[in-house]
Amino acid sequence: MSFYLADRNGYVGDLASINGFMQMKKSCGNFLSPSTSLMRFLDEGETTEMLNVIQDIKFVIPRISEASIRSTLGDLKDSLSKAKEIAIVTQ
Amino acid sequence: MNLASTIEAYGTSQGAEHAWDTRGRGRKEQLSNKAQRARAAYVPCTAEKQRLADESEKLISAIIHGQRTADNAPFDIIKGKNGIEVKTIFPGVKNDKITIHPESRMRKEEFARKNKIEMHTVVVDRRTNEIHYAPGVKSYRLGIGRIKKVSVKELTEIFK
Repeated sequence: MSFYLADRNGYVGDLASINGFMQMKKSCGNFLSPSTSLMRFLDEGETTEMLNVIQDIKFVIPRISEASIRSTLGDLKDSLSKAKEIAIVTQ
Repeated sequence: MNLASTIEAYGTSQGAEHAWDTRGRGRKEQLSNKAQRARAAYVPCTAEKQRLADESEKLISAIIHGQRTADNAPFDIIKGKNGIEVKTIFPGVKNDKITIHPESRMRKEEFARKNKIEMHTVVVDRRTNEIHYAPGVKSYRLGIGRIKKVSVKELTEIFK
């Protein structure tokens, strides 16, 4: 579990193993364009648009067949909903 | 954009942004000082850093013949009864520190206890292309405490 989410106050929650994160990103890329908030967040490693990212996650979860990736996205959504002002993917 | 993709896009942030834009709203707010400090302290893992971290994990997995985990597993690599946390120090980083947050550490310790596995930390320093190893999982500063530089052969021996 090398990636976790931080906000203005520090640690928010664990995200995924490196491999899990990369798989999640690849799966999301099958359904979302690079300009969506989620894909920008996964590429840039930070966002201030948590609600937009959550909206994209809600859009993509039902379209993904692998249960493990849906679970990782669910955890990301939960962490994003707790993040204050900024969400940063860090290790 | 055709009709189907237009409808599809409206379920995403693209559609929402478009709606906000057409109403003249959605201006970006400036970050507070606290958020700016957080951004400086927690260096964001960009696509390039993710790629380097992925490469590091693949490398360590290949050296020790371990299994890379998927989803939100508490360890990056599992080899028999060993759980391995892989950290990468990226080029350009000035300090020699790797951080394991206390809550992450507790989660790993709980998993290790339940599954009777030993915990390990492996650091790949991409600035020098050196590998460092420490038993257990905690925050370390390279060269201090139980973390030590190892060769590929030594790492292989540890996880034999």
